[in-house]
Amino acid sequence: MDPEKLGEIADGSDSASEIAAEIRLFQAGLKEYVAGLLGGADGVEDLVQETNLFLWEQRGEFVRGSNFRAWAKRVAWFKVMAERRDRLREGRVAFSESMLEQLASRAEERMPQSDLRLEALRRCLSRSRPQDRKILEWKYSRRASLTELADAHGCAPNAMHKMISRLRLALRHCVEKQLAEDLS
Amino acid sequence: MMKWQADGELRRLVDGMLDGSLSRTDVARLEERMEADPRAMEYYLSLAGQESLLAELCAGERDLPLPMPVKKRPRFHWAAAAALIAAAIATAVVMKRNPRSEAPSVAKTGPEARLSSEVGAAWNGQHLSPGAALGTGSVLAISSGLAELTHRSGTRLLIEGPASYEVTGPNAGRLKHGKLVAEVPPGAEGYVVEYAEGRVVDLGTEFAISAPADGGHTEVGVFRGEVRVQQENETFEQGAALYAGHAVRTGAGSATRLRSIPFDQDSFIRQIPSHEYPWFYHGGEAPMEWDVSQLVWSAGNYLAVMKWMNGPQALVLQKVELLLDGQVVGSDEHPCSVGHLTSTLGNVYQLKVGPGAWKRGRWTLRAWPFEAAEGGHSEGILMFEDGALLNSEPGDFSGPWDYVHDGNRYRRLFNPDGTCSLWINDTPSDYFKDAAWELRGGILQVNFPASDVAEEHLLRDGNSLLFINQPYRNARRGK
Repeated sequence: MDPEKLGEIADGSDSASEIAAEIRLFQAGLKEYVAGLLGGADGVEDLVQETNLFLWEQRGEFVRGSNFRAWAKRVAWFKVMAERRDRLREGRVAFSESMLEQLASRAEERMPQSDLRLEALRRCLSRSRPQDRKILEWKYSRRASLTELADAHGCAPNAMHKMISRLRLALRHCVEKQLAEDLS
Repeated sequence: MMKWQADGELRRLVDGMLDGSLSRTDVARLEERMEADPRAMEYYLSLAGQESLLAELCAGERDLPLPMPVKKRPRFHWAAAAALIAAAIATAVVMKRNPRSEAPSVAKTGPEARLSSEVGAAWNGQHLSPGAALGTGSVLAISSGLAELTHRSGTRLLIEGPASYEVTGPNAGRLKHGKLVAEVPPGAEGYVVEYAEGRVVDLGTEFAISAPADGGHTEVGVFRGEVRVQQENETFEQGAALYAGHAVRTGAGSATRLRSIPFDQDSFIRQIPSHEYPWFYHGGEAPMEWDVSQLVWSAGNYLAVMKWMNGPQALVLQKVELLLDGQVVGSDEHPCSVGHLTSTLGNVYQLKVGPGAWKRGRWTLRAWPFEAAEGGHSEGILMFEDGALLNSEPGDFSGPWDYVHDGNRYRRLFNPDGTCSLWINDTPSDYFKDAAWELRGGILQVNFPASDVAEEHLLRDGNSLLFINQPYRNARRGK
């Protein structure tokens, strides 16, 4: 379910639109949570979308006044577990179950600041150098592989790897600074 | 105090995790680091979360000159979402019971369901052939016979007529009336079937539901696993849990409107029956008999093909009969010999169930052997088929057909011009060099100029080529 579509529904005033609004406002939190458990951005968008759809279709099961976010988290958790099972079957790596539980509990504590982090990251991106933004866009939007990225930018994959690692850290640093300002 | 910073190893591990390039050992090492130091976990979580947010923020920045394909997995996966009905709400019951259960690979696109097979289906309304796609809103309606429907999720339904089933999603449907057995594989948990008074939500099972056409009480029984029966406006949690071996009748006069009843498992057909029955002959004139109840669904013509596969001696029959509850309904009397190609003659028997002679009951096929002169034995299979197979047209046979025999791969190609060719393990064989094929009474004959014995084939459901007088397994339509 598209967040935009949810936006339209959320303009109404019945309980369905409340659910739509709850889902929409929880996107950044869910994404961070799922990414922490899956080990990165790969598969996150699909999994969060599936979670949204499930929440939306099962909105009749949701008891008004109870904790929507707890419900949503639980749905996402089970989706992650199913995805993990699929990945292991395909021979891919995944965190152990005990590690997942620890990560989930810490990730939950981080959730309330997800929206702030999203806004901070937006500001940090807008201030980043155009050539860096370009690399980020290729990597995160077009999902270019390291080799493709390196080819397109005329450098060795190893150099590109380091470049991305540096960009990640720089953005993280910038977000932390922004957050410190926001919260002070 | 110095601010904490990730060291080289942690950076490498976290970057590798985010890029999906870590080995198992590396992942274990990353886990060790995170368990040992909360700051390491915080470092990892902040970067992983950032990755997911970057994907969203960067999507709006598509102004780059070089074209590059956008890589995206197919979108939304309803089946997996449906599996969450079970998982999210019934908490960890299903997962904990079988945490390592293997999910089947569920197709992410395609029709909500397909007709995978049928036996004797008499269609009401839309006639469907195996492979036919059923989208949301499509109705499968049969007045008799069996239809096997497979949802995109992998949930397999065996529907016994008279029945009407509407597809309402990739893992959901509505049984208007009829008998249905659902087998829900791991990964497709959450299959929902609605009936007049409520719905059944599966939690990873095989279960049966029977809804009479006259609006009487619906019955639900569980072969394996667990289901939830929700009546009318009940939520999942209010629904009644039903476990293996249990059955209930809905709408019955109790406070819960559910009455426990004995589960009559044998009254449900759980899979599409095979058309093939083995036989082993050790001499004598005692008749051989097979239960073909699940293949006889209406009046009409049926074929019994006796096929030899092994043994030194040919089996000689004098007649074959079709019986209902022990009474002969149809009979075909002629001698037949079943053995090697050259000793096989007249091995297709035609049996007729006259109008009005059909009813539900125990249908058996009986074959009467002649006493063989000498000892020895033989073995093979009986193929019991719908007589409509004889209505095949030449065009239905043309094209390549693949089969395996004694470990070798064979391909027969029937060309529209009447010629044919044979390959063995991808190498052309000259066995069919001068052979020609023709259709006689619905049976394909491959004729060889040097021999007066033809090889014969029947066509089952458009995709299986049966060998009548060669001991080979059925050929599948090749590509």
